[in-house]
Amino acid sequence: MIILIIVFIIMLMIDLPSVIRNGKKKILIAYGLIFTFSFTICLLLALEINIKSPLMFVDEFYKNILHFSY
Amino acid sequence: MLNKFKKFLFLLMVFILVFTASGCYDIRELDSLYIVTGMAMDKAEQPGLIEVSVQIAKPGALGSGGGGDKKGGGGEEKATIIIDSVKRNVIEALEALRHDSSRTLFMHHNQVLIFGREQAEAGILPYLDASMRDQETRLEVMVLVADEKAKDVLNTEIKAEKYSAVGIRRMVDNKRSISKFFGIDLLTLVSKLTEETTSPLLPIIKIVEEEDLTRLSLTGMAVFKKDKMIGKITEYQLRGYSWVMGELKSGYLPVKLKQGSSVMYVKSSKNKLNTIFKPDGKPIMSMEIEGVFSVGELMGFEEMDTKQIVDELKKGAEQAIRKEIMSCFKSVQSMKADIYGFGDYINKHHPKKWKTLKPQWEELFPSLELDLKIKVEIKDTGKILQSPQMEIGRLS
Amino acid sequence: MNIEKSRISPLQFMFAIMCFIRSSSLLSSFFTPIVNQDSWLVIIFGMIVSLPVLWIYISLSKAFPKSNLIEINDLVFGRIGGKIISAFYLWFFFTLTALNLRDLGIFVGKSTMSKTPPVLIIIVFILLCAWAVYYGLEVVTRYGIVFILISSAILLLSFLVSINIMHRESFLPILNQPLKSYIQGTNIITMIPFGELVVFLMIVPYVDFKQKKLVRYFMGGFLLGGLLLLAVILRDLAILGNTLKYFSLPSFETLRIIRLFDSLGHMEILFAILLIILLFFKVTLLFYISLLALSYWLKIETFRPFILPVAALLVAYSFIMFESSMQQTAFAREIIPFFWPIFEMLLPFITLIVAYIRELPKKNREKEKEDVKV
Repeated sequence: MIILIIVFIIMLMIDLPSVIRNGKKKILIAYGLIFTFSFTICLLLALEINIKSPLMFVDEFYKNILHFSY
Repeated sequence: MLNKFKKFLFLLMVFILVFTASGCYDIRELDSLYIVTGMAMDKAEQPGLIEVSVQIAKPGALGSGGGGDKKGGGGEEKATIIIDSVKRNVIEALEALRHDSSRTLFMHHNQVLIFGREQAEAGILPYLDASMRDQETRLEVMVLVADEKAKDVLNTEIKAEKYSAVGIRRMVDNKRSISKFFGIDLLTLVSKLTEETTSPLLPIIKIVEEEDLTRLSLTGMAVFKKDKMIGKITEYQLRGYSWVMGELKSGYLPVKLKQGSSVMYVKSSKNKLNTIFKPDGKPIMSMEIEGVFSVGELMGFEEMDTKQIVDELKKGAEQAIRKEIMSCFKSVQSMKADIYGFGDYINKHHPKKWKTLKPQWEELFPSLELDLKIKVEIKDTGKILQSPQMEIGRLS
Repeated sequence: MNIEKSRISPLQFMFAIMCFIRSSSLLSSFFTPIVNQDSWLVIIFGMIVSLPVLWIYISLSKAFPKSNLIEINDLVFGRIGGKIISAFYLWFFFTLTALNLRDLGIFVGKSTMSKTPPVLIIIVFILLCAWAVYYGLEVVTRYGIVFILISSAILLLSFLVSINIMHRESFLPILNQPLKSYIQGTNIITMIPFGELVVFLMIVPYVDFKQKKLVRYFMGGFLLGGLLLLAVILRDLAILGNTLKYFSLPSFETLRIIRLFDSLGHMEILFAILLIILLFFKVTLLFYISLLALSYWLKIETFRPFILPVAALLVAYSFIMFESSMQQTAFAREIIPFFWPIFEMLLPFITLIVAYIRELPKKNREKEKEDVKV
């Protein structure tokens, strides 16, 4: 957990200066979104909260609804 | 350019470091290991349990080298330790061994896997799975069947070898140099078990007790039906088996004739297998066996010239080979065990016919006919052209 | 907008394709238990079936020589439609990268470092990939040639030293299994290494091609890579015979068996490293392509700041993807043959058709001509 947060802070320290220096708002927003998304997923994983894999949705969709499978 | 090269070097070094260093995660120092050299599995006295014994190269004896072996000293310590545990399955037993000893078991150098006779008769397949699945064991480990208890085999010392399991491995390797079918590794065994109709053969290792020493000897093969041992074939019959498989690389063939007797070395053998189908659909296995020999020893053959002798020898050898083959074939026919993999051969070469034959193969095999064509070639007479005996015979 | 400024040579492009396919030899256990001794035939079938698919890719990139897949989508489907279609592709690229990352973690775990936790291996690995990606396409593809040469040399060597334990009978009987298993096997092989070549549509515009040569290099890479894959399967099959179906990593098991002499055996660690390097190449390329697609999708001029967060996301994704390796294998065998075609065949095909109906590339050229005139 703590390691994870430290790792993400280090990532922020590496990337953020160049993003801000770049000066474009669009990049900053995109970076913020991606970073938060990634951080949330990793955090959920670290907290051992079950995240349903998108591939499993596909699996169920194909097996139960389309009945397309070998 | 130089900059790029430097970058590349840097990357390379990081790459190497990262991959070697992260392997240290489960670092195991040599002196904290038990190096397993052999493994034996016996049926335990309690039903349903298995006794797993492992032979371990004794840590202190390691590294002292083979040169400093003392001879004949009664006080010499054994170089191996045997530990065992009785559990329901192999993994449980190995885990128990791991916990009970001061060191971790290191399976990479396991040389042999020996099944006790009782276990072999009860079935070996459930215990092969663990050996195949484990990442540490290798598929080239030799599989044998002990004549009695497998643990006792591991316990028996071999004179020239420090670790008897290594010795057993070398014994098998020696025999395998005659024909590769004389010893079977795990992969081949599993492959034969996969061919549904083929019966695997495993070499039998026996403890021979002589007056003042006990030694090990490999005699004959155990015949398996599926994964259960159902019988044995002798050394003599085993040669018959390898003639059919066409894989004799050395060995000898004694030939007895009216005029005298001879022992001939086998140089090589070949076999061309073919299936002929009778009008009623039953197969006949036809073989063209070709054996190349050199003369090893001659006795008798008085008043004959070399050409005559060679002709006679050829006939005699043909007879001898036929006898060996038929002896083996009759014996396995009575056991209903297709050790040659004839069924698999038909499956591979005549898949359509096999579909109808497969359900009745069990009944077909005991009445299967062989059509043997044996060709003998004598290439060499050894260092001498004529036997000294022959000279004497001619003089008298 | 032009993110990737470096250009790669056609040869590098070709070797990248070869490497990409070759590294899939690790995954042969997806189809070997289905078709057993006919695995090699299935590869040939797969290559034949893949030819029309490749034709779609080639005609797409011929029609739009200056645009990558995301840009093509924008051109063909308009702004909003393109964004939606591209989002699907984006997800597909990410999934592919995470899948390969996962395979890599499993392979390293199974082959060399059985007790190191896979998370460490994967993190270390993705960091290396991130570094390579940081320097751009040229660096990513530069060593493809070297990897292919080394791996081919080792493949040849392994053929030579194992010739005495190969069995001709392993290949018999030919074509003696239910038709369904051939269809399934061919389907899997078409989707898993060959169809994945759709990712190369992202980098075609950065190759210094003369128009006509595109076919030659694309097809060349595909055919040579396929042949390498075929050779690997032939070797594994000849050595392992009917036990091929038991192993989850047939190639590695084969290499474990090969030994020169008593003392010079067990060289599998070298082969393992080689396979890891090949997989490294594949993951790096996929990672690069995902990032490139992401930044084109967002219309942002650089992807460099995104490397680390995306890497972290990929690591997490590769872990939540499947609960077990059995689940993964089942998914690869049963669902992927029906699911991947959406990205690998259906969408590119639709793109091609729509472009044809809207007569898109022509318009572009006319525009260019007009521009020149003006």
